[in-house]
Amino acid sequence: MKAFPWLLRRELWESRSLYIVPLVFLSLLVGLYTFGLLSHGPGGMVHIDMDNGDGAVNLEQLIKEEPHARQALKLAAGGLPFIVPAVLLNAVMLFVWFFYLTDSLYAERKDRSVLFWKSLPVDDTTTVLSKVATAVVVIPAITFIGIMIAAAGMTLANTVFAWTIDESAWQLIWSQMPFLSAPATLAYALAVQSLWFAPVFGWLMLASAWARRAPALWALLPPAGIALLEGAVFRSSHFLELIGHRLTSVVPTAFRDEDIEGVVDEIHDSSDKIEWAEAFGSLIDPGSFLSDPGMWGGLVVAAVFIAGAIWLRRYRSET
Amino acid sequence: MNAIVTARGLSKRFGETKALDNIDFTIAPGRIVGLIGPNGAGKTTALKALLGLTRFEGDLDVMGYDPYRQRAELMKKVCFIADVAILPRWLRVSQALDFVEGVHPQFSRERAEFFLAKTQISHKQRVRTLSKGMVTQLHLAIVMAIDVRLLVLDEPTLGLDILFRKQFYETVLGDYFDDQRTIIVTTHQVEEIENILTDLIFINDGRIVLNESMDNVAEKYVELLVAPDRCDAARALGAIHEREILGKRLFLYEGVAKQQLSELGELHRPSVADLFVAKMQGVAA
Repeated sequence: MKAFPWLLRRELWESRSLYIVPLVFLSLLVGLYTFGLLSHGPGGMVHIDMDNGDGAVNLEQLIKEEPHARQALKLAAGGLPFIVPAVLLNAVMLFVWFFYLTDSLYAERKDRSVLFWKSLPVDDTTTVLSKVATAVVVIPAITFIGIMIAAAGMTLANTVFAWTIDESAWQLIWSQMPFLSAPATLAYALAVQSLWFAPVFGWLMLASAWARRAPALWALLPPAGIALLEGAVFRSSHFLELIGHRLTSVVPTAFRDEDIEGVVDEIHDSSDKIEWAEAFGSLIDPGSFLSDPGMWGGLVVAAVFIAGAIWLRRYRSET
Repeated sequence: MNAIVTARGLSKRFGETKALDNIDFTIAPGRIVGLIGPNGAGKTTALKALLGLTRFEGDLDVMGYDPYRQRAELMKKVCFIADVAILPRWLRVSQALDFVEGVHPQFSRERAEFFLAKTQISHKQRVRTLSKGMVTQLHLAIVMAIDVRLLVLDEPTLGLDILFRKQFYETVLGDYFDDQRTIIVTTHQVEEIENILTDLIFINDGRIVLNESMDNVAEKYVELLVAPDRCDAARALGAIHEREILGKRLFLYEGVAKQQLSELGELHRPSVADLFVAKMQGVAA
């Protein structure tokens, strides 16, 4: 197991897109946000839908004269630096995962370096598990760090904005930020998402280990074929529903979805005191996630797929 | 001394074709063995079996390990270069050294740096920016810095120019080989390695055609150059191969007394390449 950290390093050396792609997106986000916000500094105008019609108002004036607007801004300044990067970088991560995993056991065969790796005293199980760990732990960790960097960047822009309109950054921006609960909730969300997606990761790795070419097609076509066949023969779509459930149901499984609307209403109502920390904390639902048979069943399926990928790397000798 | 490699009844089939057909051989420590054969003869299959990269039938022992079942363990004791340009193109030289140092208990960073210092390769370069010859130099520097008893080289100099090829074997012989180590090498450029080999194995159609030490080869095989008028007498002595050269006939004999032959013409030591051709054509006939 002394080799394991080196194998993880190897993955980052080989697949630099794992951190470059999120870095590009977070830079774009923070850059555009900063530019957009600071161009609304003193004298800047914003367009707001108001009850008495659409109008352009001065943001500085609005904050100083309208308590509700001020409250809404504090709310946004507290939550959005976490939520917006989280949504963006999580979406980016889905693509990073797909391309990383479909290439994970294919690239070394394509460039024929697999025999070099196999000439070293590292067994196939350890090698494949290092790739699983990259998908389950390293990639989400990079996303987490990326979200935190973006949150810091956006908050810095907010702070500068507060100064430009002669407000206390502490009072307007910082005092309401969920410094602990937002990162904790994000870490939880990323962790449960990884576990929930484990069978998908396993499948992509199996396709990657199997394919002689076009591993992404091998990943996509068999499930599509099964779905079409089921539709044609049984006139049902259970398989498609299964896949759809797997791809879309991590949030309802791991979070208290019935409470989301209530929390939002609560936030709207409480004009004086906004408790992001409470809002985040009340959403997570590890009990429901850990007692979900689909989650455990998914892990079993993931183990089978990963074992298949290990077997293929170990025993299939191509000439 | 215990044998480094012992094969008994080693076989491997791909469907109907027998890549290896029940072969036996033993390789002792401190030898440099040339495994020579035409394309598709079974050389690569034999090496793959040795390195635990393919399933086989029969018994195969490599330094006390079953190579197929105990592959990862075996790789601590064996190094191989399977082909040129097999290092991943994205890898930096420094990363290659770091990685091997991290995962291989027998690797000496110092030795690898020593070998690399003799080349034009710099640490920051990626493999994709190196020439084919430099990639081989890098791979060889890494492999020679690993202290193991068996080194397997499968066509290590394929596609390299002659300067690199010569230098490759000079380095292996001068800086690496000693009586504790064993090297198994396959190549098509037989003439380049015949002076460094201690043992010779010819393989054809999955069978061993010849398996001798080079000393025995020199004892046993002899070439005789005769004038046309004495060809019949030469043939009568049981040549295994004959060909024409500059108006004379050249006969190759196996295990015929040199004294008897020298009366008919000039004696020569056959080159490995000539011996190979004779043996391969003999088998075909």
